Amino acid sequence: MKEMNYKHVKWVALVGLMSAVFACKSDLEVEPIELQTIYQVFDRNDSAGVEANRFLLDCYRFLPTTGNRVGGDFLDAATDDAVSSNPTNTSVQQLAMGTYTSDNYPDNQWASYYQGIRRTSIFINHIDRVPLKGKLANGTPFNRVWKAEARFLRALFYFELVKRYGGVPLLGNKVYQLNDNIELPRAEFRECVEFIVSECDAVKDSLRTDPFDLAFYERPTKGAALALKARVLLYAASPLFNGGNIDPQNPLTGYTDGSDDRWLAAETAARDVIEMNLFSLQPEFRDVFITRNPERIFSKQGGNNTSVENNNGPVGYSTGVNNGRTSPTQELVDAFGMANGLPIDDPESGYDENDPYANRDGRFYATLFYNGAPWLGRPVETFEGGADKPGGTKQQTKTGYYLRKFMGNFETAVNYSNVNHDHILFRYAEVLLNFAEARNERLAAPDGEVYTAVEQIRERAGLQPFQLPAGLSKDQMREVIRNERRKELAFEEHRFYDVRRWKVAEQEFNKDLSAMTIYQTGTGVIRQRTPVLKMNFEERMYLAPIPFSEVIKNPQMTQNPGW
Amino acid sequence: MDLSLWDSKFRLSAEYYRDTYYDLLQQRGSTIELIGIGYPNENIGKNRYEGQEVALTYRDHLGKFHYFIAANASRMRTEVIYMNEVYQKYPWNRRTGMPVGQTFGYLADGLIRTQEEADAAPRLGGSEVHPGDVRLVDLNNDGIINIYDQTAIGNTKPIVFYGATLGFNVAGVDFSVLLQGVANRTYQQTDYAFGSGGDRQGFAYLLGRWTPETAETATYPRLTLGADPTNTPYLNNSSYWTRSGEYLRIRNIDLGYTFPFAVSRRIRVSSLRIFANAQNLFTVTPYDRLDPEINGDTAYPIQRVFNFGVNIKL
Repeated sequence: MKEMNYKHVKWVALVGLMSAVFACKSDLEVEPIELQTIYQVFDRNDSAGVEANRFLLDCYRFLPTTGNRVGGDFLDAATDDAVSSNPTNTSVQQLAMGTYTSDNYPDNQWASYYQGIRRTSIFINHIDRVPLKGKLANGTPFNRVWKAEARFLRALFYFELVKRYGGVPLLGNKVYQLNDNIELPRAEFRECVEFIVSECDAVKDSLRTDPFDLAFYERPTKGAALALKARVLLYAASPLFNGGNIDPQNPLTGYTDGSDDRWLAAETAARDVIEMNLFSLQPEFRDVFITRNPERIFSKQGGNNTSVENNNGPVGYSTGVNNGRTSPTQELVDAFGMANGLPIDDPESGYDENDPYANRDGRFYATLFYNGAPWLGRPVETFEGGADKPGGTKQQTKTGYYLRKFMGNFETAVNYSNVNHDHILFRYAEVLLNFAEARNERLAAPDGEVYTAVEQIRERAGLQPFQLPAGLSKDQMREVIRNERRKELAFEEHRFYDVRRWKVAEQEFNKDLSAMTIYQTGTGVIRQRTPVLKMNFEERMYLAPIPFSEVIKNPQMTQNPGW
Repeated sequence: MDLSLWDSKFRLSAEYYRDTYYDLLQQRGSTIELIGIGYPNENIGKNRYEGQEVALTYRDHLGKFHYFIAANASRMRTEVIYMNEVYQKYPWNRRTGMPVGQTFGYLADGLIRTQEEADAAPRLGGSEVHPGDVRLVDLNNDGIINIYDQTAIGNTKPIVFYGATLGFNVAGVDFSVLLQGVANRTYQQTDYAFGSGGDRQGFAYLLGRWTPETAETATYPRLTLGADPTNTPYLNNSSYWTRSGEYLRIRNIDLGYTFPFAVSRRIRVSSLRIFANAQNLFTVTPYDRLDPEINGDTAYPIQRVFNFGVNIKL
């Protein structure tokens, strides 16, 4: 025993001595030899640009996603369209109830988008080092295409910030280093809009041209740049920023004046997308979300899976995972009119309170599960004690409804199978609604073009008749468009911002939300409207608070009013 | 300093140190996120550790009664001298000058007893406050509990370790005891094992929960299904959950008897001793639900061990 230990010591000593000798001989490694430098990524000797392309694809990682994104819930569960089924105090519930401060804003994306902005700027600054040989069919060299993609992404990242916070610091192409002064002030709202629009204009003709090229489906095309421009101009023309600035003389929170010309700019930008004559409405509404089709303008890749089904499926199905996370409200249900195109409170609509789910707008069936809806071979049971609302502590619907939208067509299937769940960021129906809204606001009364745009949406939805009554006033048409937007774009992260930019959140997001409690009795069904959540909204919530840490660390950073 | 007196019967050693560590690797305070990358650790921190250590020993005998006492104590004061701290609006928010690793959080002022108190209580991020919730102290009196109300919670005084060994032997009987203790120490322990679904193990302390009937005597907030920011400890790190980490512990106690040589010779061994000892026999600590040396309720506590035995030398 002793002998062995002694041997051991000798070996250790020898190894130690050897390493000392060799250490003296080698040079000091001032940086890790495996470190990949920016000059290796943007290699002057790589005309294929393999590493540079990887770097670009990594920038796409920062694109916004949709779906169960905010603490496991849809952002739309922070609107009057839905509540979270989660029994605990979730992020979206904090958003809905206004229980947040500047240091715990539940959808704080500040750091993430500035990371995306940094990466895209690095790419933009260095891609011209790489002698790319490739060209698009129309002759645009890849250097230009790739750089345009990075600039588009960066513009979209800025838009995501601006819609939350108003004006934010614009960094240009500068990539800040640790020793630089990064105490930057916010740019004016106006400057941010101008920057995003000018970037869209600058890159639109350098981007890829075919939005349906499946090999490059994740890449933005001209249509994406124009659709982004149309959206940012629509936001900029909206009351919250254009004339209704919550802090009227504060250029960070919106324009300090109001101008109808901004509606014209928004209308023109939307018209530019329409007149590309490239995109069209997918005939079947449900298929928009589960197939790659001509309605999609730009998406973040989401892959083929059953994520939406698993997260939001009614909880009573034992085949597959069904967490029922989203509980759409009675308010959203009521927003859907009838298949004949009339709202349910119209005496002519044929709406029957005792059979409320019959003959509704086709999008109702594609968006929600209601008591009796077909799914996986049996009717959904959201009556008290039903398979999908069993009671007890299990997470289940709070409202009597579940989310159906974005799911595959599993009405008669025995189990889920993978379907496409890309995150659709821009689609043609939104552009049509943007166009109709902007033009209606600009004109004294809606004309045929406004009607046509809205009626296209209604026609595709299967309304019969889809035509709107002639002679609607501007105000009436505004209500129609807002209602169509709510139904058409539900759960696509529009309403949360739409209601804000229309500056009606103090009414729309400041009320009791309702559930439909359904009792199945021996003699029939009793339905009772019951309150489920009280939303709270204060004026300051029109804009998100700049993260507290950014304000205390940076003396130049101005907080939004009220935070 | 070392001192030895009376033929080494009494020995004393005392030390004083005051060390300043600089260029400590840490993240800067002004980590403005506009830069778009995570900030690396840099050589910027400066901390001071200052303290005293005293050890004394006394051994003597009264006839055949031999005894000894050895005691030691140390005290350590730490201070953050520089940490590139950002501007803090209120002095109580400042971490520079506080002990290294100081816990920050909200101050708690017991539980809210009545609805009137709940209506008057400041809110955490606009959330609702109910009777039975922890009442947080609104240091800047703006009616809202937020980051401006966070301050140093728990102990800020220099930590003190102390210990003593006492022993004697007389007429074959030997005895020694090792005591060990800590003063000026606290830790955060949330006692929240009930779980957000109410489906995890409940412990006896839940019986002290707030109910309207026990509003005056409750020792634990009202129970809620699901995490609630007003009473869920991990959402509001408050002094309600600060526990004393002070303790005095009998680390080891040992009693033995060595038989006289006349006895051991008869059974043909050179020495025979029987003994009993115990480790961690006894602990005095103000918060005794958990072992004060183990932070957290998931770690395995230090065991209490009893030994009985016989030593035989052939």
